Amino acid sequence: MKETITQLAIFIENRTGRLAEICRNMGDKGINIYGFSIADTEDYGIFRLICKRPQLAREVLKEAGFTVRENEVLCIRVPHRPGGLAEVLQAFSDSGINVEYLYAIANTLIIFNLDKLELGVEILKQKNLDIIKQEDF
Amino acid sequence: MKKKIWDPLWETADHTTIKNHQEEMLKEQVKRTFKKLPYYRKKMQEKGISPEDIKSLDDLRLLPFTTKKDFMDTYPFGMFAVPLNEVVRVQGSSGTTTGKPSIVGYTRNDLYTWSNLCARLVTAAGVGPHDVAQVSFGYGLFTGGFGLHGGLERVGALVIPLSSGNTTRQIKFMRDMNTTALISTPTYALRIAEIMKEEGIGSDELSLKWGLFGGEPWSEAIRNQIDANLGVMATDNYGMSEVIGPGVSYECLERNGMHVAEDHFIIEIIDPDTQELLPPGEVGEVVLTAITKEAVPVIRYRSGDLSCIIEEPCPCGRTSIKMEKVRGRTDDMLIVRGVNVFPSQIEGVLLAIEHTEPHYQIVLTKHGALDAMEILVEVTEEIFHDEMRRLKILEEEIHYKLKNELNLDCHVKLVEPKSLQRFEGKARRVIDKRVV
Repeated sequence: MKETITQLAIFIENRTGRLAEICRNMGDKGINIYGFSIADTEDYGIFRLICKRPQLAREVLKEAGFTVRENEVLCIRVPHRPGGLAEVLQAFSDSGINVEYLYAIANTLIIFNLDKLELGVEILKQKNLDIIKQEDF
Repeated sequence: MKKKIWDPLWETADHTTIKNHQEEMLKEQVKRTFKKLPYYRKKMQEKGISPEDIKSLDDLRLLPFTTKKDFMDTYPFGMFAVPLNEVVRVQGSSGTTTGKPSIVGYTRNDLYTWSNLCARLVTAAGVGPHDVAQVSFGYGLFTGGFGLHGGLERVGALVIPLSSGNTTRQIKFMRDMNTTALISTPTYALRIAEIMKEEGIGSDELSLKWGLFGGEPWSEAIRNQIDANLGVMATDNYGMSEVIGPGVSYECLERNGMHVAEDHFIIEIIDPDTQELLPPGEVGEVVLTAITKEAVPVIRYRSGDLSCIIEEPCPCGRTSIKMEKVRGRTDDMLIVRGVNVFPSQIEGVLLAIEHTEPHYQIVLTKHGALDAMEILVEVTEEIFHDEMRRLKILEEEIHYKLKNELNLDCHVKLVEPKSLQRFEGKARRVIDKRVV
């Protein structure tokens, strides 16, 4: 069973209705979205999302004409107390792992993309931190 | 006051003299080209024509065309009809579809001819020995800079070889040196006017009288704007490196068509599709034959420029036929800020990055007086990434490589796939929002 979960990244232009279209397409196919983040520039954005049945979602979105990229990220249950997130970040930093980006999808569930994913998993296990797997959703 | 004519012997020669001269020179040129240039000999043989078939001017239409592609295919010296030790200069143009420049050469006589033609040009545009002429054309392979420079020196004007760019310095020199004639692309002239306005400098603070503009098509509306903003008499001039450079044709102060230097070039207008000759007054592609050139004797060169022939006599006293101001291009070549751009060059750069057929669109707009070029690139799975940093690097890479290829700065914008307008399944490559 893999420790990482699959994230979809979608390229979107800053145009009215594009996000709605992505979400509607997925909704129509009964694909639930658990969480997302958007990185944006003046002209375009990257819509990253965590959802049920990512492979199907990818097909659906490609069908609808979107550029979709699938990649593995870590989903971590960060201790829900002051310093909880700091602890995780410090552990990565101590091991020379760079965080490419991170975002929260629900309360204490934080999505991480790291430059060294496998090493990240090891660190988290050493720290006894809860890693959320695809099947956990 | 009647304006001076530089070369009255030829510029006011009667029709019969010109035609006889053209016929004689054409026959010689065809013989020499057939003998010296394998690429053209092959073309003639394929059409089943020998130099003996060219008995009169009318037979010109039997000869095969020369195109820009011929220059690229034979790069660097395959178009030269003389040994290299007789060539004293090369010039050329950068805009090509394969990345190969097209190079032309000049013998000492060719350079003499060229500067003489440019002397006719600048004289017709009002410039004489008492003028201070600022050349704001780029100096380099581009024929604009060195061509006009030669003509201006020939008439005895004081030449400031500033080249293009650094507009503030251009204005400073115009002010400090009392520049009376500006030589540049029309676009750049407008740019200068724009900066003057920004810096609060009126044209009355300058001594400008004459404006000699070429290198790209420009409209009467632009002419009026330049006249008003710079306080000049703006004239158009025409030529391309493959034929010789500027000096092929030029406006006089009547500003109603460009006089063709018929003693050196034979002009034809053809239907670009059927290749049939068109009568005076009908717009088609300009085809030029250089009948006196030594180093590169080009026969029936298809310029890709659209114009027509004006036969009416000109009040200026010159008797040569005139061609109308160029209206546009027949091929997909774009002229952006005086630089030749082929969509295929952009395609080549994107192909090298994406490794797949790129979908892109070129959008041309006017940003103030200057042309602005934006390249919209559809983001495919091959180039898309979930990290913003990588997308930024990609944008930078495309931008940098395009700049290197085109010698031109452009804005790169990533867009969603299928978002570009398609025409019969193919993307419309060029959206030109500039008004010529």
